[in-house]
Amino acid sequence: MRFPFSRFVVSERSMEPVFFEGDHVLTFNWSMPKTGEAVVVRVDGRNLIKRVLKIIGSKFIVEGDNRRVSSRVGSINARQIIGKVILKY
Amino acid sequence: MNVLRLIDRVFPPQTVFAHCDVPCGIYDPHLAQVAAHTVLRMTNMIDELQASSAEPPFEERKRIISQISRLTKVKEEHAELVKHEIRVIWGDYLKDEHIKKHKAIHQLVFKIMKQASVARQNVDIKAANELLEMVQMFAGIFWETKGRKVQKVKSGYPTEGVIVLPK
Repeated sequence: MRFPFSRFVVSERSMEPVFFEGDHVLTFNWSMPKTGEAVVVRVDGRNLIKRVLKIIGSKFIVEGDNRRVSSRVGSINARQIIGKVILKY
Repeated sequence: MNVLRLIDRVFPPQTVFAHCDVPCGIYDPHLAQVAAHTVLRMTNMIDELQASSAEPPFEERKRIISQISRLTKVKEEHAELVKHEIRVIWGDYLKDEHIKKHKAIHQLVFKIMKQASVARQNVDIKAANELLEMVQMFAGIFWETKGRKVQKVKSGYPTEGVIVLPK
């Protein structure tokens, strides 16, 4: 079973102005995120921090907050979600 | 929160990337075109600025300097946005089969990168227009790779140019 909490440090800028490069975040991994919540997801072996734009069945549409840097959105499965961000510290 | 930072010092957290590398397949050169129009508009506006005399009063100088600073900032940002958007489509979307069919695409992207820098560095309406034309050419090729015919639609912007859109 996955550990309930995970710690991450943010790299790159596509979640500005909410999450800046170097910010530390804590995720809670035992509940599914809701629309509008920030999540850490696993895609192609990389951890990505994104925001849930829409939930369609078991698919989550995620996007970056900084549309200047992150102009694309993507669809991921629920099992790719590591956890939802509950704290920036 | 300090406790968590203390834990991070002993057990460093994993890195989480904010940059979008989700292979979503959603690409569009529209934003690059809007940005190129913006570069042209800012260049026009800087070019049109005029002082009331060769030696304007201090207050007027302050106003002009402030205006030029603001226009230049937006011009810089949007020239960079052109480069970013084109790079993403070129690097993430275009595949070998597209390159085989559109052999000039690498050269065109290279020219856009250089032209965007020229448009940034100078107040040059001709350079800004050329940048827009190159980006529109890129947009045309992009939609062709998707099997879509394109149409040039009046932008309705103060720059009075067109936007290349799929039919």
